[in-house]
Formats: sequence, structure tokens, C-alpha cells
Amino acid sequence: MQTILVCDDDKQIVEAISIYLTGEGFNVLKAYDGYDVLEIMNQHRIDLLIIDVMMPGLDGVHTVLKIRETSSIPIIMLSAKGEDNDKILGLNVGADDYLTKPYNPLELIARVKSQLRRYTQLGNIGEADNGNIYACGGLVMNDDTKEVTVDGNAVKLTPIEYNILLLLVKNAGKVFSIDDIYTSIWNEEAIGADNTVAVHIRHIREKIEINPREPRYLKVVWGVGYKIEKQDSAKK
Amino acid sequence: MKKIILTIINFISIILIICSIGVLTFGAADGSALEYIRQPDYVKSTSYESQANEMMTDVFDYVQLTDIFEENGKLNLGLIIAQADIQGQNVSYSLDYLIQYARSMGYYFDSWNRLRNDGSRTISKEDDELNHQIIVQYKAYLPNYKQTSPTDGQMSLGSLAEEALTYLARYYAVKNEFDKSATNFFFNIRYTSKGKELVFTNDPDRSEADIRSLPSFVYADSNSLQVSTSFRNIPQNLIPLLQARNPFQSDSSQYHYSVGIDTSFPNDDILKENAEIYNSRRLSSIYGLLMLSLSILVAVSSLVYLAIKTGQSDDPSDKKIHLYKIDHCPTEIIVSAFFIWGFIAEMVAPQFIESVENVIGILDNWDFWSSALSFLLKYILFVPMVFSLLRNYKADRLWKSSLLKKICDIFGHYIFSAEKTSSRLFSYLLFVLPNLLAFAMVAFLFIRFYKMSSLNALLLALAILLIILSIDFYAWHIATGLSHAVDEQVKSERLKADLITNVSHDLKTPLTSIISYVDLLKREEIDNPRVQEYINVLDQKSTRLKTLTEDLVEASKASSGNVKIDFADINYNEIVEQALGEFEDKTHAAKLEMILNYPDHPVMISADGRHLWRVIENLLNNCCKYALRESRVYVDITEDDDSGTASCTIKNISSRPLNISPEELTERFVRGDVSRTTEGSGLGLSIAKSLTKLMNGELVITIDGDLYKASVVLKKAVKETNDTKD
Repeated sequence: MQTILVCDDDKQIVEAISIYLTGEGFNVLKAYDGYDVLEIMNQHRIDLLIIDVMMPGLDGVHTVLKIRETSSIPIIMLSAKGEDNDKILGLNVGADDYLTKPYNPLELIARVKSQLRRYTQLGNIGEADNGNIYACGGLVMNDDTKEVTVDGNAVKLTPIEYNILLLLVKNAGKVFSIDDIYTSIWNEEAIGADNTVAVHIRHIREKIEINPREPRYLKVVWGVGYKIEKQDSAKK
Repeated sequence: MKKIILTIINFISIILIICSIGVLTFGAADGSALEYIRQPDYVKSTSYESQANEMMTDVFDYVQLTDIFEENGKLNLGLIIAQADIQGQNVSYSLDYLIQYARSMGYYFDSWNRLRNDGSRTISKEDDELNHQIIVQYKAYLPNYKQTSPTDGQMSLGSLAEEALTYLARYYAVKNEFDKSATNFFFNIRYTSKGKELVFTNDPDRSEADIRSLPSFVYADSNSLQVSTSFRNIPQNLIPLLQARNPFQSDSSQYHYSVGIDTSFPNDDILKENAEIYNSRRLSSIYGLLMLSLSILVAVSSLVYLAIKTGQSDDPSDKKIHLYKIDHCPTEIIVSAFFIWGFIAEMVAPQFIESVENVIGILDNWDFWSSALSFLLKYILFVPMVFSLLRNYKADRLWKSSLLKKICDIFGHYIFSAEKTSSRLFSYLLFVLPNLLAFAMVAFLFIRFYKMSSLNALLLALAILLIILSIDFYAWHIATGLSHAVDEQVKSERLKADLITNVSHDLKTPLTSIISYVDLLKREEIDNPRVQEYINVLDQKSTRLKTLTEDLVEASKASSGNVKIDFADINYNEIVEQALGEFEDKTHAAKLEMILNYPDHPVMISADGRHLWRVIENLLNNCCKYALRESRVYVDITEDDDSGTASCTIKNISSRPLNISPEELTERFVRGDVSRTTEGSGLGLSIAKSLTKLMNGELVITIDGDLYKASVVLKKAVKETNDTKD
């Protein structure tokens, strides 16, 4: 059984999260500030940490910094701070995921599972030296079998969606405009106003993302195009 | 309160220190106070020994002078004391004559048997020198005196009289000193030669053995080299003197020297007097030292306590350092005030002592009093100064409150702000250069004044200094005022941002719990359909509350300008197309036909993509909510080259009549339906308007009957348009 440590200064939130996680079959430990977290981590083997940012005493950011000195377990940050800067800070100090309050509890559970799968099962896939397997974080595309998996779960895509995603994954980090994608996939010039590509992209997102409004892989660069976020897929 | 008492105690102890030093200097004069304490018995003290030693040699004067001046135990006035040669004639002078002569020249003996001259005379010194020149051939008081050349011994009669009377004075002195009834010092010197015996003693009633049995004694004789004595030291020249004064010139003569002191001091003499003084001084030394060490202890401990406690409140829970008004003065002012005061004290103290002397008469130890007073005056200000510095140090503002820092700040400010405004040259020219020039000039003028003492140079230097300093100060004042205002503005903006962050945190945290627990409730198996209905309501409303909070925070951020805008060149066509793609589901559900028109070339605008998406999202959301079902929505992108703008206009037919002005629509919490039953926060248009404004654009809303038109006008990216046109 995997052990998850939940830390928030609001006891009810910790309680609610632990009910969900217990329901999913996880062993849950509870902490109410950063010092608790450090102490519990010294005594128990923890598989994943869910931690709030704004807490009295040692806050989430400092706690994560401290943990990262010794441990590489997955960490999901929860925060009422939804600014880009806050997210960037959280991810930079070592969090693997960042969720803003108020969140959908089911989304949190999905993200917990995703992080655990990646950490425990898919650690080595990114290193596979197979030319026909493209990986980006938890997103893996096998061009031979035309299979797509996200955190180990198979995803069904239409051929056009598959081609668009493959184009983006092959060129991870590069931004493609609607016209670029259109020319590459349909092999003809885009004529006039048409939101076909945009609709396809949205459908892909709905299939591969936990929360399509806050995508992890397929990102919208507003007014410029779309891209797959380049991710460090090789995890220890 | 405690501190005031301690301060008073400290000052009292300082005064006590001064007093005890006074007691020690006056009371224990000549000889260290420690010596007095170490030796409680006068008879064993060094001062007793030295006095006794002095008397032991004085004995020989007594022997010799009584021999010269006395006959049958009485002063012989008729004694021929000198013989002289006056123009070939031999003249003898008796003691009586010389006394008469000296008296006529104004000489007399004072009460301590010292020769004095009071100036009342019948024969003046000049007269004596001119008319009474003699050549002395014989002096009774100097038996070994011999004329070696004819001119030797030439002197005036007055000088001779003075010389002779000096010896007479000495005779009187030793006579008094060793007078049997007025001394505790007894001696017996006996010379023998071939059966003849000569005895000198001041008390014939006491035998040699009597004298030697006294508590303090010295006995020496020619038979043994050893001197038996109770003293630690005896005069070095005692034996040579004994031999030199031997009246028998033969080798077989013998001497016996016995002196003794009756240490019970039955008679009033110098020894008894000294013993009394010794005892009283010893007492005052003990008290003085005791007082000194005690008061030093009190002074130091109270000072240390005050130094630790200064600036702290009496209340131990209050850890803050409290400053007095004086502490806010610059450090240098405090220090220099002390030095000026010290200078004044140095000047005033002697004058004050002088004026006191006028009232109470001449004071001994004038130096002591004046230095004590000046020390006290300095101390009165020194302690508050040091404590003020200490408090400033504790409050960590010793440097912050100093003038030097202010001056550094002024210069630093100019140089720093020069770097900030990138007009360094300008600032150097305006500030640093003129200042350096002015100071160089002032320095030059001062040197000139110093070398040539030209008053004009001094006045000019002072004038320049005054002008440049006042200009600098004024400029600095303006500059700091400005930066202060800017700081204030920044601070209030930050406060606003903090407030929004905190309020949103406080709203979102309970909301998280509500959403989670409503969801948990939904998962419970509840048979009662009414309860399930309630839970559904809770679910809907909590979701709505979530939207509302997020919108509210966003609206307040956008309207207060606490939003970071990253301008980039983006394609208007692309973003609208992307947005329509995102909304495909919703528009489809609302049965709206979206008709998009844009130019066939990219329309590049300067905007923040994420914020622009939020604006378009809100507008499209409104369309989905309020547009007439099964109607068409036109989305047009147009360029206006005259104003260099591009706009996206969304046109739709409202499903309900709009009885509201376009201006009102963009107000916060205003919604198209006054009943407010539909979902939505009423903040969408307000947020869209604020965000557009922050991107230097404009949101224009027009209502023409049921035709609702919203257009987002934004500035075009200047470079891109030029490039594409060329």
C-alpha cells in the first residue's frame, strides 16, 4: 500500500483529502505544518506528499526546499495563490505539480495517481532508445503500434488527432500556428477562416489532460499557436 | 523610577570618590596611604626612622655649636666671633656687635629660629656693600677657616653678620630641639683620651646605660665596629662624624656614642607631634581608602547596570529600545556637544574655585579642587552622552542617525539615481562636478587665508560653502521627497496586492472544504430523494461560488492594475480562431452559428495573449448566455491604419430586450438580466474592460435595439505591420 502524506493548516481540508485517498486505497498520514512534515518524513517511508503553500510556521515552499535536499518523492502543491509567479515558484523549488484552490477533489486524486504511476512504473520509458517511441513526461506515443498512453493509461485518438499530437510531440517545445498544423496534416494551404484545427486540439486536450483548462502537455500559446511542453521525462 | 534612583546613586558615589581622593591627598600627604595602613605603629614607620636619623646627626651640630657659642652652659654674647682686616687695621667683632648690626639691617629670628629679614632697616644693603667692606681673617664658627690669599675673605660686614647669625639660628634650633624638658630624644657622647674625658649630653641625669635601655637606641663605640641599635637604618656618616668631631687629636682617644628615644613621648617635641599626625593620617587613609573602594564599586556597578538597562523599559516583557528625544540628534552632534561642554568645564572650573576662594578664603590644594570640579562637570554630561550613544547602538541606529551617513546618502543618492535614470553625465555635471569645484575653491581660499591671512578669502570661502551646502541640501530635500512619494505609491500598490491575495486565500480555503465535502456527500448512498435534491443545490451553488470568487479576485486585480502584463506580438486572427475552437462545444449547444471574417494576412497586435484570451472568452461566454438561439454571431477582425489599431467585433442578437446603457453594462456586478437569475458573476464585462485597458486598448460596447456589439480595439504591433507591408 502506498503512503501519502497530506499537509494543510486547515484540518477539514486534510480530512477531506484523506477520505478520498483512503477510498482509493492509499495509506494516509496527516500533518498540519511544515515542521510536522519534516518530522513524519524522518520516521516513515512516504510515497507522495500533498502540501499547502500558505501555512503558519514553516510554509510549503520552504518545506519542499528542505525535502528536496534529501528526497525525490513526488510532491503536489496546493495553494490559494493562483498567479503564474506563484506556480513558477512552486515548481521551481521542486514541486512536481501545482493545484490551485478551490480544486476539484477528483482532479486532485487523478493527479496523485498520475504522479505515483510515473514515479513508480514509468520511470525508465523516456530512456528507451527506440526511434519510434516518443515520450514527453507521462505522455508516450508509440508510432509503430499507433498507441498513445498517458501515465500508463491508453488513450484513443482519431487519426487526425493522432497526427497532430505526433507532430507536436516530435517537436516538443516548438510552437505551431494553426496554419502550420493545417499545412502539415492536410498537406494543403489553409484557406480562410476555419477553426477545424482549434477544435481538434481541444478534443486532444480533453482526452490526454486531467484538467483541459489547465493543460500539462498540450498548451495553447494564445495568439501564436500550440505546443507540447518540453518535459524532463527521464526520472530517477 | 529605578533608573532615576540608580543615576542619583551613581552621581553620589562619584562625588564620594572625589571626596575620598581628597581625604587621601590631604590626610595622607607625603607617603603613600598604603604605607600608613601597612604600619600601624609610628615607632616602626620609616618616617619615624628618618626623623630619628636626622636627629642623630643634629646631635653633632648641638655638640659643636654649644661648644662655640656657650660658656658655662650659657650663651656668650661677648664672644669674639670674627676678626677682620680693615685698611690694615685688625678689628675684632663680638657676637653682640654683629647681632646689633644685623638688627639694624632688618634681620630677626622667627618663632622657628630661622633668620628672616623684614626690610625695616637703618643701614641699607647698598650702604653696607659700599661702606663696610672688610677682609675676614678669622671666623669662630668655622675653626678650620684660613685665608689663602690676601683678597680671600673679602665681604661686607652685613654678609658676615648674616653668616654668623645663620649659625646662631642653628644653635638656637638644636638647643630647642634637644632641650631636656622639651624632648624625648636623649644622647650621651663621651670622648676619652689618656684619662681625660669629655662628655656631651642633653640630660646629665641619665647615664649611658639609662639611654641605652630606652626602647629606641643607638650605641656605638670605638672598640667595636658593630653599632648596636633598635633601628633598621642609622645615618651613613655617623662614624665618620664621630671621628671628625673628636676633640682629642690623638690616636689613642676613644668615643662612646649613645642616643635613645623615650617612645612613650612624655615631652612635647617634634617626635610626639609627628606621632600624633601619623596616627591621625593613618586613620584618615584607612577611611579614605575604604570610602574610595566602596564608592568605586558602587559607581562602577550602578554604571554597568544602567548601561545594560538603558533604553529598556521597566516592563520586562517590553523588548523594544526606547529612545529619548535627545537620541534623535545626529551622533556627531551629541559627541561634539560633549566636547564643547568639556572645554567649557575646563575653563569654568578654575574660575569658579577662584571665586569661591574670594568668599571662603585661600584654599590649599587649589589644583585638586579645580580638577575635581572640572571632572565632575564633565562627568555630568559624559554619562548621558555615553548612554545616549549606547541606546542608539542598541537600537542599531548609531550609524543611521549620524550626519556622516546623511552626507554619504546625499552623494550616494545623486550617484545612484544617476545610474537609475541613466542620465549619469547630466547628474555629474549638475551635482558632483559643481560640488567638487566648490569644495576645491573653498579649500584653496582657506589655504590662502591661512597663508596670507586675507580676510576676504575667508569671507568668500564661507560664502561659497554656505551657498553650495544650502543648494545641495535643497536639492537633496526635493529628491528625497520625490523618491519618498514614489516609495509610498509602490507601498500602497503592494498593500493592495497583498490584500487581494490574503482575501482570496481566506475565501478560497473554506470554499475548498465546502466543495470537497459536498462531493463526499454526493457519494454517500442516500435514499431520501429530497436530501439528494438539496445536495444537488449545494453542489451547483458551491460551484457558482467558486466562479464568483475567482472572478471577484480577478476583477479587483485587473481594476487595481495588480496584473502583470507581458506584451508580445501576437496574431489577432490566430487567437480568435483558437478561441472559437475552444468554444465550439458551447456555441454548438447554444445553437449559434459563428461567422468569422478576417483579412487574408496576419493582423499582428501588441498584447498579452493570456489576458486577451480572457477578454475574448468573457465576450464569447456572454454570447452563449444571452444571444438569441438559432441566430448567427458575427466575429469580424478589422484594421484601422489611421489610428494604428486592430479590432475584433462580436455582433449578436440579444435574446431579451436590453434596457440598459452600454456604459452600465461594464460596471461591476451589472448583468443583462436585472432579475439575476441566470448564472454568471456579472463581472465578465468589467474584467474584460479592465484587462483591455491595461493592454492599452479599449472595449467598446454598442447596443442598437436587439443588436449587441462588443469590439476589442488594440494597438497594432508597429514593426510587424511595416515589415509585412514592405
